[in-house]
Parts: sequence; structure tokens; C-alpha cells
Amino acid sequence: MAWWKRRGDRLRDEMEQHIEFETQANMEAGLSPEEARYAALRKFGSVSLAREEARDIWGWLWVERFLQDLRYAARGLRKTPVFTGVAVLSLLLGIGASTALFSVVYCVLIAPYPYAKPNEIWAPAVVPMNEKPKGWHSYTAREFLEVEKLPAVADAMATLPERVLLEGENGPENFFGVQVTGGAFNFLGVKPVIGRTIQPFDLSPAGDPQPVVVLSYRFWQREFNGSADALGKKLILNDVPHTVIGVMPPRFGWWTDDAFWLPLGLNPADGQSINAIFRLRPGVTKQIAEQQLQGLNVQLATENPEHFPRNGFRTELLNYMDITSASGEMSSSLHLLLAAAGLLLLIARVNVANLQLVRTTTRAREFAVRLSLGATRVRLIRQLLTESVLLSITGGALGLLFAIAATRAIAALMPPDNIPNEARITVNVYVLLFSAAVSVSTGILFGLTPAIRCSRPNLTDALKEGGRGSVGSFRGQSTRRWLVIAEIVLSVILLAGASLAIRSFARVLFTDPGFQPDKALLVQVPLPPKRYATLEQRNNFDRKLLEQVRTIPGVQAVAVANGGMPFGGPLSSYSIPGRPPTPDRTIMVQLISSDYLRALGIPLKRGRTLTRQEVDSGPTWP
Amino acid sequence: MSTRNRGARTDLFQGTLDLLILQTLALGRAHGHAIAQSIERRSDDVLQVGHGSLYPALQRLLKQGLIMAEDGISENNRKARFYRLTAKGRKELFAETSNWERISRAIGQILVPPADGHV
Repeated sequence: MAWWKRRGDRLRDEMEQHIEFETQANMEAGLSPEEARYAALRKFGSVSLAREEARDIWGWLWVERFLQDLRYAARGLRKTPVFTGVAVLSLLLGIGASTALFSVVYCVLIAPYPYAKPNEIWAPAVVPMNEKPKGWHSYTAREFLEVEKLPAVADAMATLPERVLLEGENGPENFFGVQVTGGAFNFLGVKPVIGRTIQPFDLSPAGDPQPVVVLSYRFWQREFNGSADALGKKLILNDVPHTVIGVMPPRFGWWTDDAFWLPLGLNPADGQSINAIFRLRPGVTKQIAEQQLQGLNVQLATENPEHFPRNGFRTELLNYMDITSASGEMSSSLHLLLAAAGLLLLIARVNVANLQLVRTTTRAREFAVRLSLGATRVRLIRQLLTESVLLSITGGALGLLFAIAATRAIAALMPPDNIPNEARITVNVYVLLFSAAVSVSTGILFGLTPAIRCSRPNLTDALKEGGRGSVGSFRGQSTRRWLVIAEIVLSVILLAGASLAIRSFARVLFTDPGFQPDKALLVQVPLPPKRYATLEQRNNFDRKLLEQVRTIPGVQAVAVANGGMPFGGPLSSYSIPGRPPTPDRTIMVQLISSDYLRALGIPLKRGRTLTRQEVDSGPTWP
Repeated sequence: MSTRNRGARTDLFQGTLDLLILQTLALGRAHGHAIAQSIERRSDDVLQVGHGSLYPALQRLLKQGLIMAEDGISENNRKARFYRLTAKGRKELFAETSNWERISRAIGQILVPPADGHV
């Protein structure tokens, strides 16, 4: 920039000399030195204007002006710490909260998955007539093989979670292993960190799975300390040694994020239901696919009516993005929070705009003076804008720091069951851009209103009236009034929403669940089916387990049940003798041992609980 | 006051000033004050807003490469900055002059009815 400064100095010297030459000429014409100089100056006009224009030609003026505006804006903001503080705080909260929530929404709802084109993954739903889809439909292996053959389906995979007992060096420990079909990893399109994924050749031509296992990142870290030696090692899973063939990246969490994946054999004779998803062929619409699948389902329903609703059904395809664990309540509360944060941002901006308007009004005299000294309107507007943008960026930068902290806090507070395994909540680049866009665009938008207003004063009035409140008094007042009204309205909406949310939260918090969860401990004890094949074996195990646990000091009551906590267990239809049968009524059945009510602190209203004899000799359930 | 004049300063004004500068320099190199005096002698209007407006015009012509600047000694023996036409400037002057003549002839024909016999 030195040469540019030199050019400026030289130009000034040159113009100074010009005036000198003119003075000399005037003196030769007979004027006194003073008169001569004065005449020369008058003839030359404004030196600084000429300099500005000359420099403007070389294109550097805007830099200089910008720096000047920036310095001036910073000085002005420092001089009014209360205004600056309140404005920055408003922006910090507004921008910070909206950025944090947008981060969470983005990471949980918009882009939770690392899978290839997750929005093109479909899951089937079989919906009873006149009802809404409740979940996805599961097929048997034989049915899945039919689904795979539909012309609309380009690629399909199936998943079956399974309790797996790990034994050997690291065991015994229970895991929620996930079995997937041979093409599943190619379907999901995620590459392993090391080794390879499960491939179609991991199933024999007859469809029997080979004993191989792909580890989740967390399992790998925990059991093998993240060592590459893990490949080729054996894990004893449900009594069978499995070879470790690969490790998935941290974000891959297909149905589990702390266990492993095993090949799923598709034996048509198997009655187990598995969860199918598929991608459609290019050009095939959702409707066409639904028709084809409905056709197949109707056919399957004639063969196995018990797999389908009794009184007719329709088939719908659910997009995988809509059936994640974050859909439903989580999604709506996140959107609600995002809307609240948006309102907060709006209030913050209105607040700042209002403050700015008041501030510029009190500065009317300053602007009038500057206009009369030759400052252009554009220049004044630009300066006010600089101030406003500087304010926004400062608020935005602090807001971003606030957002990073808030995002971390929200991520830590989110209930893990209601967000997809794969979601990683971080402030990401998109969010950063969003924040920057919000901060600068609102700065310009709201900076412009006062800026335009204030650059249009009636000069004489502003100068005469000693500087206060003369700037378009009436219109300025009414704008401000509207801003205040808007602010109050928005605040009331926000407050009402917040208090309602707090009330429902409090209600949930103080709801009596009907049992005493605070003193209860829950342990899951799955039994390997091969070793505990008969009911007697299982009963013996349970009896021994209960006896031994009961002797532990501090244990008041102990029980086993199939669902653990209340509200679990299979659904069963029921009828009451002596009353007309109601075929569609169902009841949840929980299988429990005799001390269950005492163990969970459930009060007995009437009658008695089950005796141990009744439990031991009770009917078996499929 | 200066802001108001700036608004009134049209392209026509700029073009005229540029052309006058080029024309002055066609006679030989000159410093700013000399150019201003020469223009003043020839046109009443153009420099009325102030000699200062000469300098932005000179910078503009410098940037366009139509003139060049060099240090020299003035007639009263002072160091001064002199301007001279470049080859490109000379060409531009020729082109602009013929253009100007064509336009002013056209305007003259419109404004003054030929019947008056003035043209």
C-alpha cells in the first residue's frame, strides 16, 4: 500500500503547487499576497474532494473508506457501552440459540445417516383398513425372497437383531448382535475402517451363514483397543467361534453401535420374521412399488393369514428418513424448539433494530453537520451499515461460541434412545454458514431501515433544533412503535409456548408411573437356547438365580420377568367367559415370577399374587 | 454545495474536460496549472466548479494510458509534474475529435433549421 500512499502524497503536493502558481499569477496581476492566495483557493475548489475523486479512480478509496468506517463504527460502539452490550447480548442469544438448534435438527433429522442416499431407502408397512401406518411390516425369510424378486425392487436387504452370548477371554457378556443379509453392507454403501464387510459369499449356496463377524467401532476399541490385529481373531458367539473380518467406522450404527454384525442365513423353512428394506429401480414411483407389494402381500396373506391383519389391509412404503428413532415426538419437539429459537432470533433482531433507530435518531444533528460539510448520502448510509454489520458480526461470533457450547450441552442432554445411533451432533460447516448468513443478512436488513431514514433529514431543521428528535419525527416514532409492538407480541408468544412446555414437562416429571423405579435394578439374563433347551432346565436356572440373588445383602425382593419393566411383553387377544367375545381386543401379557410386584413396588389392589408353585407349573408360551 | 454539483456533473462534462486536456497536451507537455489556464482560456464553463476537478480527470487519463506523467522544471524554475500525450492518447484525441465534430454537426442541424442558413 506504500505506493498508493505515495501517489496520494504526490497528488497533494501537485495540487498545493497548482494553488501556489495561481497565487503567483494573481500577485503578478496586482493582488495583495493574501487576496491572491484566497482567490487561488477559491478557484481551485475543494482540495479534499478532488483528492477523493482522484483516488477513487485508482480504486483504492473504498478500502480506505471501509477501514475508516470500521474504525469509526468501533469507536462509536465503544462510546455507548450500554447500547452495544444490550445489542450484542440480544444477538448472541438469538444467533446462538438458533444456530445450536439448527445444528441439532440438521444432525438428528436432516442428515443423521452415513448411508448412501438414505432418503431412497424404503420400508414396507402393512396397514389395517382405516388405520394409519404404525410401524414397518416384517417378513419371513421365504416371503423376503419373494419381495426381493419384485420388478420394482432394485436392491433389498434384511436385518434380524439377536441376543448373542460372547464367551472366551472377554466373556461372558451379552450383546445385541445384528444379523444382516449378504448384500446388506453394499446396500448401505459404507466402507469398513479395516478388513472387509459381510458379502454374499459369506453365505453358502444353500443359504447357511459362515461364522464371520464384522465389529462396530466401539466394540473394536473396547475389546481390541483399536488394534489392527483384531482381524482374523476368533470370537466365541453363542458357542460358535466366529472370525473377525472387518471393523466399521464410528458413525456406522446399523441397529447397534456397540456390538457386531453377523451374516443372516435365509432359510425358507425358518419362521422367524426379519425386517426388510429396499431401494427402487430408477423410474419406478412409490405408487407402482406399493401396488406391486400389495399384490404380493395379498397373495402371501392367502398362504399365511396369521402374518397379516384379518379384515383387509393396504400396503404403504415408508421412507427410511421418516421412521428413524428421531421421528415422531422427538422430531416435533425439535421443530418446536427450532421455531422458538427462530422467534428468539427475530425478537433479538427487532430489539437491535429498535435500539439502532433510537440511536441514529439522537445522532441526527451529527449527520446533518456531516451532510452539510459535503459527505454524500451514500457515504452516510454505508457508514451506518458498517456499524450495523459490525454489530451483527460481533454478536454472530460470540453467538457462535455460545452455539458450540449450547450444542454440546444439548447433545449431552438428548435422550439417547430417541436419536439415531448414527447421528453425531456437532456444529458443522452448514450450520456455520447458516449462522454467518443470518448474522450478516439481518445486519444489513435492519441496519438499512434506520440508515435510509437518517440520511434523509431536513438539514435546516436538524441544525436549528439543537439536534434532538427532528429526524422525520412522526414517521420515526411510528416505526419504533411498530417495532415495540412486534417485540412484545413475539415475546408473549415465546413466553406462552415456554410456560406450556415447562408445565407439560413438570407434569411428566411428577407423573406416578405405578411402580417405584428408583430402587429397582434391572439385569438382562438371556439363556443360550442350546444349553437351556427344556422348560425344566430354564426353570432350574431361574430358581437358582433367584435364590442366590436373594442372599445378597441389601436385596429386598427379586423376580424374573420376560419384559423386565412393566408395560412390556407380547400382545394377546382375550375374551371373558360370559361376555360376548371381542376379537380385536388385545391385552399385553407379561410373564413374571412370584415376587415381581414386591420387587418393583407395585401395590396390590386386591386378591393375591402368584405363588411359586403356580409360576413353576404355569402354562408355556410360544 | 459540492455534493450538488457532483450530481450535475454528467458524462458529457467529463468527456469535454478529457477532450480539452488531450487537446491542450497535443501542443506539447504541460503541468497542471498550465493545463488549467489553457482550458480556461478556451472554455468558460468547464472548469467553473474549480481547478481541482482537473486532477481527477488527469488521474483518469493516466489510468487509461492516454497521457503520461514526468517530473520537470517549470517556466519559473520550480520542480513540477508535467503531463504529455502517449501514442494511444494521440489516436484517441483524433478519434474523439472527429466523433465530436460529427455529433456537433448533427446537433447543429437539429437545433438550427437549415432555412435560417446558419450551419
